[in-house]
Amino acid sequence: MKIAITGADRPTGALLSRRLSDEHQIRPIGSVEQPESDLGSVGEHYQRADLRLPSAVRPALANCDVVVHCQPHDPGPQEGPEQEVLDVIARGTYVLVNTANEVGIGRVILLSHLDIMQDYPEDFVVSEHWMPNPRAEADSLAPYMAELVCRELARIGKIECLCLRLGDLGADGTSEEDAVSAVQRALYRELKPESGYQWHLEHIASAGRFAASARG
Amino acid sequence: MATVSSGNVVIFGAGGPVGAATIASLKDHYTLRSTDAIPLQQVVDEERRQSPAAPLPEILGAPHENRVVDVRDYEQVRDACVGMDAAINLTVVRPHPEMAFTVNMVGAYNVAKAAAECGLKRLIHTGPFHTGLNHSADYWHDHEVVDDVPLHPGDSLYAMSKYLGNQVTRVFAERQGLETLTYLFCGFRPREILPEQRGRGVGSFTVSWEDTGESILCGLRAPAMENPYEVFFIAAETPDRKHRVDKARRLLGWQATDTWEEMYRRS
Repeated sequence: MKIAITGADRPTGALLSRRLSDEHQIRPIGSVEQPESDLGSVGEHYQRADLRLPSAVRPALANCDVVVHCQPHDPGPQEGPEQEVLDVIARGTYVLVNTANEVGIGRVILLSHLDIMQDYPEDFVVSEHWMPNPRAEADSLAPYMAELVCRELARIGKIECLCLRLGDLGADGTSEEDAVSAVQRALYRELKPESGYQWHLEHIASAGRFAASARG
Repeated sequence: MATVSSGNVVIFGAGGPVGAATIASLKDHYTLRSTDAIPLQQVVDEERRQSPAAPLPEILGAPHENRVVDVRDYEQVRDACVGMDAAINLTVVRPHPEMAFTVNMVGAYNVAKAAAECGLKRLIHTGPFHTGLNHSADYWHDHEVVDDVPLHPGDSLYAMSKYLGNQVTRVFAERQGLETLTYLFCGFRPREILPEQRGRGVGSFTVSWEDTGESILCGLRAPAMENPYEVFFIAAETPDRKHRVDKARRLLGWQATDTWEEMYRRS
């Protein structure tokens, strides 16, 4: 597959760019000129694009089969006021998914963040069916905005979207191995055609309250 | 107590027709800080009407205040909320690919955040209810659609950006204890019915601009709500039963006075 990976200038996107490149052609996309994260052998294909601009997104997605949209999981620091991240993530996701549809891409894998479920009481068994509970802060709201955009565009059949909510990368949240294997599964996962749903949501946690082992 | 029976009220987006109607309904009961992205005097001087029959805002003198505020700028929004008892967010941008998000979503964030930080008693937030969006997940074919039904904006830029603004506002209401009434509108028209419009039918989700101003007055004066975030359809009750509007009557004590009977009855 040819896979466009957003947020490739940040650790999550860089990790997936490196690890998926063994089997796929990767087009890493980021918002800065020179990514600080190690992109390995795919670094030469790195493209800078502001996802809010269709004119920048369209060439970045050309000839790709799938988009792995990592930016909402780890948007990194933004220039300007704290609210900037809301526009970067919400408008960026809206433009990205609509453009993906226009260039013939049928699937987006959205990486969101388990932080938006974190504020439920610790003793609640919180699953994917629970309503997100972000804080009234731009950083916390941003991945929720990305989920809503993707969910609503998937609802009308514009694209298939598989949303993976990850914790912070690491042993206490989502391990690198679990993150990579979750995305690998999502690349090939068949959404049940008889259901008509084009939206799928999954929590990917290696430890802690959201891990599968914590559900008993 | 969230009821705002008197005091100071800031209006964002006061230059539009709903803003004009709101100023008319509130000016004798509250001290208003009417704001828009451009000077209200310019709106009036240049007759910037949303449509030919849409009202223009009245420019009020002291003790009222008129101010230029860009809701995309948090400091401007916060300054405008200082000393207020309530805020009304009527701002909207429809087709612009950037400003739809920065006004409808980031602007909603700024207003809700400033209202919470400044300790305002009540925020009235506004947005659209699209009766039809040309996808099978809208409610176009349904009847008795209620105020609290989840919105499905589809891929419409306007509907999506406003939908996100609503969700941001809801989170502030629930997490910060900011009592928020979200008014959903669809069709507007003037109160006056022209002879050639009689007996020609009326859209199912229509309200006069004059009635929108009264709905805002009722929203400020309504008793405390059961939930920090409540959504209301603001429209006249029409006999097609497409949309229920009784929640506003029950919780706000508001119902449209313009019911369009001359339009939906053959004369």
